[in-house]
Amino acid sequence: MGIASVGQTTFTREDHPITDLLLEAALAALDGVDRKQIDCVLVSTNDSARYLGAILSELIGVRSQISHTVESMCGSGGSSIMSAYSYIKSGLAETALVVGAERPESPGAVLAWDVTRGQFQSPIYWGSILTRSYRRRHAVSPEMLASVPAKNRRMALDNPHALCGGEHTILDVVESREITSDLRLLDCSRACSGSAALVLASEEGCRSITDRPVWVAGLSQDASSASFGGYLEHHSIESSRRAAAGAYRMAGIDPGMVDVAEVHDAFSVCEPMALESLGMAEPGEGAQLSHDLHQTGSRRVNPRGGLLGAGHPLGATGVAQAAEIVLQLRGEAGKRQVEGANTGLTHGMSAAGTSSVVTVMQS
Amino acid sequence: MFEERLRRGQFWVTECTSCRHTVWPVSANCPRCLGKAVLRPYGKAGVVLEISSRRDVTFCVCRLGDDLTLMGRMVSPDCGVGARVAMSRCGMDGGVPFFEFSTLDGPGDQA
Repeated sequence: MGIASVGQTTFTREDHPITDLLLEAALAALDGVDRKQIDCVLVSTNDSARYLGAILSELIGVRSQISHTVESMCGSGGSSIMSAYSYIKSGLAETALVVGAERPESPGAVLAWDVTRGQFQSPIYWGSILTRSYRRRHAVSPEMLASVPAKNRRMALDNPHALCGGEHTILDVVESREITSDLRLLDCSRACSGSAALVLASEEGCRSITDRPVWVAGLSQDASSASFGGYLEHHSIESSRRAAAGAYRMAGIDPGMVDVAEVHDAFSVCEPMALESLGMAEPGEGAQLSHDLHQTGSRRVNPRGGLLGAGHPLGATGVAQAAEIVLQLRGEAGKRQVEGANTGLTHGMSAAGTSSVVTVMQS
Repeated sequence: MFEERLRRGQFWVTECTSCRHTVWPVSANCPRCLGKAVLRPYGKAGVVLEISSRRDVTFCVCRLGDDLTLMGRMVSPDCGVGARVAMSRCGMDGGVPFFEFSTLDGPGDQA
């Protein structure tokens, strides 16, 4: 099974109706695709609007057999890709359109059910706790972690859809406005509006749409808990480790074979934690890897700028990550291209990393 | 209800009537054995697992007893990881639970 086509909108702080966002990305992905092939429409969002799968189907003139919303907080995009994969693999659908979209004031940033967070419901609180814990455990300096936003925001300058591209020095990051004692403004991804879309199909379906499909070789999801109180350690992401292991096993690869990765850097510390969970760095070495990538200008990790550089429209993020890997594996990423990339990976997580989704793709 | 107890400043959480597992966050049933869970008073002493601050508010993750972890406000000054603490206040504020902790006998390791 593979991905035949991608599309996305610009990520922006401007508010737009969720249906406008969905439609714009869907039309971009459907360019050159016979709409009659689409029999499944999945919408990835935390938006409170209802019945968006059927609404989008009507807006694009598709009589889909399957249409619904997939909501899993920040990781909704990865979950929706997994759902589409399952529908196609099971034979319930042949060709799926997956569209993720979010508006800036999304209700998906807060999990009200989770009373273990007490009065500290905003994501900045778990981001701050993870940052402090990771730095303490591995003796990592704020300057070392500052490589992550400096790298990713710089790479976003070459992403025409990104919200937060910019040249920032390490000093700019550590001297940006204090959000908590462990987070600076440039350490935090920004909520925004935006949308991204994919067309997924069986091998035969992909080949009928494009001569350059990208294959979904492995994917896996893991939820260690839903509550922040269920976290065992605050310096590593157990759910990501387990999801990565499942995706690698399914794809029959090891982490050393990953040429390019889009990982969920909601806060700076999330990138090194993800790299360690994904097996791309040893425990405690993720920050050094991010630092080295920054120093060398390598685009191997988060070439589109990650969440820090591109912005974070929750339901669209995982879909946009997958769209980037598709472009990379096709050799169509322009200035962001990682030369010779054959195997790519997306990593998404939800609710402080209590659950994660990892997808491995190959050209 | 958990929230009703919290409004009265009481920290009660659910415990499984079959296997005695502490069910947190509170739920009507035990995730281990699916037995019925009922509210019980829970001990308020614990230890600081991690700590950070925003402006003049210090917040921390604490482990109470053997199996309950939650985030709350630290009201004692100069508190660090490993400090022994007690929940000194809890309640509901605008529909959101809040918890406050203070140290029992020392600041713990400084961050």
